[in-house]
Amino acid sequence: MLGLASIMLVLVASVVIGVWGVRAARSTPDFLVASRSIVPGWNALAIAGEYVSAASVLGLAGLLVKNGVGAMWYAVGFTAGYVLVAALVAGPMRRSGAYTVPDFAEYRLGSPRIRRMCGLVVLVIMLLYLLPQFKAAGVVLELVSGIPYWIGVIGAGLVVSSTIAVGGMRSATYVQAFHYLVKLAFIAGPAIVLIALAGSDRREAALAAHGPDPDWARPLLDLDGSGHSVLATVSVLTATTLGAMGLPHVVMRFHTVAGARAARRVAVSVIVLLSLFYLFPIVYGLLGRIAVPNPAETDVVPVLVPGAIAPGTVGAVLTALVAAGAFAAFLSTSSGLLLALAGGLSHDLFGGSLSKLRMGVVVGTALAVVLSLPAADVDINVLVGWAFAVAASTFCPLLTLGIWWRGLTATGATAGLLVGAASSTGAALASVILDLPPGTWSILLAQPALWTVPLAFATMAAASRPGSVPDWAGEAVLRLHVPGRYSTGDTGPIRTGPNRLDGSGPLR
Amino acid sequence: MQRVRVTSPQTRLAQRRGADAMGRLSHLAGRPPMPSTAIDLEAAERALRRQRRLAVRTALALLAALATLLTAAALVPGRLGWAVLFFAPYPVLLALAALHVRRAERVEDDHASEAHASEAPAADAATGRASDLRADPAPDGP
Repeated sequence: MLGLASIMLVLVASVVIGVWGVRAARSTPDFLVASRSIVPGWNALAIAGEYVSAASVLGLAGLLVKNGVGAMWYAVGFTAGYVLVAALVAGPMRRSGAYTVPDFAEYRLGSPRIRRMCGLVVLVIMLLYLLPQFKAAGVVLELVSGIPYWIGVIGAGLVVSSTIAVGGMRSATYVQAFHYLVKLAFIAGPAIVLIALAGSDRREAALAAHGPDPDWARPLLDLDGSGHSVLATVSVLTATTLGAMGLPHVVMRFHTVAGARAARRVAVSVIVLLSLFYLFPIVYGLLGRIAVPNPAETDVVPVLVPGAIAPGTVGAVLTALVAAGAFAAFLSTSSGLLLALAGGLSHDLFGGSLSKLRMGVVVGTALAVVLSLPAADVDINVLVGWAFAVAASTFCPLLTLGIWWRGLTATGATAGLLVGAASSTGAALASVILDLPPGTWSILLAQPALWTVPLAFATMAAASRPGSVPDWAGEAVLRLHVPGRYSTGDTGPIRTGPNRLDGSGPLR
Repeated sequence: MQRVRVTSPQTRLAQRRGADAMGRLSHLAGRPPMPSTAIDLEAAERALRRQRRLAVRTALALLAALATLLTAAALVPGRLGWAVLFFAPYPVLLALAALHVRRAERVEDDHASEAHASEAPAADAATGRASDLRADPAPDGP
């Protein structure tokens, strides 16, 4: 019951902050990008808060117990993606002045059709990403309070969609920044206490790198003992690093800062915040290996560890804190994802008003809830891995080529998006249906990014015929990279406010 | 008898928007389109090329860093190998990103000072339509 109480507390605090942060979301820019007036520090906290999802809070530690130490390569890839975001995407995307990836595609390629296509890809990525979040909410609620999985999932959907539908991005920013702090405090705090409580024997055992299972202790990621751990690690790293660059809800975040420079710096701050957080799943994973070696549900390992190490009241309190941290992860990630999903549904697919956007949130939640009911048995990181693989095979090439190469045409982008989306989702589906024996092929299907990303890049480049590059393409690309009055992205908040932190604009 | 296609103003606007990708960027940010004659295109081109070189360098450096970390984690035995995976990547990633941002901002500063220097004698600098900046000989200027 303590667990449920702490979750309720996080929930109430989130709603209060959300309401405080609303200040009447009136127009679409208000709702989607908070009218460009979010201060960079808050924005970095919000990006990290949104990004540190159930996959990081719960999934990583569970995977570490189940598959081995190499699971932490997921965390490395999740973070490494932000190096590419800072280097390739953040600044130019902000200068483009577009709200979402589909907006950007339409600006850069001048084709409304490609916008709708991007809207569809956004839907696929966001749904793949939302499922494990709802799954996490369901299993954690079930564990700490005995509420049946499906009731927990539906309840979580109601809570998230109602807070988002009322507040939009501005409220989401503050709520998500709050959630990063909750996650860090409620995951890090108990972790440190648990290290102290575990005793020297268990600490020694947790750190025994030369245990009875050498495959587990090897710091490479292997999928179901396929024997090709280097290949599997490289493929996961490719998906996570390049996928982070193409995640629509992350890219959307960079539109909410004042300028291109601020956007880049936000990406760097996010790396700091992520590095800090990713120290703690290691603690739960290594202690979990000793305390809960064979959990029935790997994704709840962090919630089980405190009770196994410290029985009694201390354990119960720590369990409640971790459960609240996990629930904060669910809340923040799913609200960010739902916003992007609603944007995709209404803004890009149905050219929408604010009421349609709110409708989009409700529809998106309903879809995710319904789909996550049968997904109870799939590992969180498997689903999140697929979301990253699809993003890496679609939006990563689209953004990279669109921003840096003026030769990209609408035809090329369409072909590349189709090939990338079809091959990555197809491979993931095939790996579920075919259920191949562990080996090279099972890795290439379950973690397809290694071949689908180059394929998508090559298709986009090859299908962009030099003759059909429109004459304004050069200018459209230049505008993304040149600071000053030439580019609209450096113009600061839409409504003139005091938050103009970017000095690169013309108003000196 | 001549047939005339009747469309609503909104439809005409939408059709024009479809053809007018040039103005879209400015449209999105709620600003009128800038005439291409208002900037020094050659300088902008140089800035883009420098930024692109920088971006490629950072991406290659990231590739090299991850490959090194992976090799180190695979070869270093025992706890030291764990430490490589658990702690070593993050400072490296942070350094790569921070270095990139510093250099990218320097490129922007260089470009801005260059543009500023060539803009200084312009009579009407406030509106940004300096008449002597027409590096682009396009006849469709303002």
